Amino acid sequence: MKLIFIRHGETTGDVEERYGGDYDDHLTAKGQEQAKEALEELRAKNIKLIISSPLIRAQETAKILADGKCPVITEPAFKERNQYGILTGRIKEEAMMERPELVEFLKDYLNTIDGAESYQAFRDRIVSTVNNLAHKEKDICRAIIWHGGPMRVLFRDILKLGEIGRIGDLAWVEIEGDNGNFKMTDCRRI
Amino acid sequence: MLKIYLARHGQDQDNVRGILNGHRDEPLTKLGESQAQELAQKIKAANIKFDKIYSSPLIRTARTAEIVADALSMDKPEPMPLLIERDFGIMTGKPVADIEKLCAPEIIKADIITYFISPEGAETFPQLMIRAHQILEKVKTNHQDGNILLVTSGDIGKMIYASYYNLYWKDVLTMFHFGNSELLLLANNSPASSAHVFKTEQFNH
Repeated sequence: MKLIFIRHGETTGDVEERYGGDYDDHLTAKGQEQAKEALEELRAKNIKLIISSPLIRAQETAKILADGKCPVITEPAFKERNQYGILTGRIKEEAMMERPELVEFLKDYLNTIDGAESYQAFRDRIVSTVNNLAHKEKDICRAIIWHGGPMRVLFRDILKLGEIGRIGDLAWVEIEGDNGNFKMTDCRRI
Repeated sequence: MLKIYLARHGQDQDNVRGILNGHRDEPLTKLGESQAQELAQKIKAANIKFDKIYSSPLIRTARTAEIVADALSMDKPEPMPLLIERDFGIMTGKPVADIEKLCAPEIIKADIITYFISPEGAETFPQLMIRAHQILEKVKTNHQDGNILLVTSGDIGKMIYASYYNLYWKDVLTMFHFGNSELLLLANNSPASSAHVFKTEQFNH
């Protein structure tokens, strides 16, 4: 079984330095270019199905990667964690001035601020949905378009490779294996 | 500004016999010792001064680092376990000449080296990319600026270069040869394409 996990491209919220998470923004022009570049890199992988998070930035990335040739389906469980609760979409610098105590509290990803999803609930939905993918359509290469948060869960809780420092725009990780025994076989921008 | 220099060890006993070393811990050959001296003298001649030297814990890298530190009248290099060469798994101790026979088609051929991709028990290059990033984070946390020398081995050394410049590991495998006692520079104002500070005449892969 082969799965390729891909992070979306640069977004308007990234450029405006906003708290993302559940914030539903769009790719920038640069983000679209990044997706086109990744499309070329991934051509030889022969991806037959794209499974995307429902957020706009992932859907826009998925559309570019599909290149009009590959079906795209949406998986609600691959949405980014709502980590920032009542700060979602706020400009980070303003939040820092207005609610410094909340910004400090957010530094530990295990903490849950008002309106946010707990890390445990988030992790559980990511891990169980990835494990379910292992049991169906095993013979084709599938790509998952999602986010930085799920990528960290993949490394921490599925691959057991611990903390990864960098997950660039359009970072991608290829996984092979069966029965929960996954191995990272390729990667870029991490 | 932080400048990170990467040096590969001199020729070791496995290199000269054409044996895959990985975590095997053999000393430098006589030639390897003089290659390390040559590296030290070139660094001196170029007037490069290091604030700190870190080395992989293996004998070949620790000795190379020690020779450089002595020549530059510096303190003993600090061992950094993360800098250890890739674990070659079942290929450890096998002849270099057998890579193709044992691992094809899971190989990548560069000019001088044939790389094996994923034999049993071996660290893969994507895994090395994660370790390389950890190494760079550690160096950047410990040193905001200055010149830092990391003395390491070929495969992990190349992945540190790939991670620094955010390049694809496959591209870097075939991009250049990182020879014994050669020196690379990783810095914001130094493009990836001009990383080689010194090249050295090579006597093995």
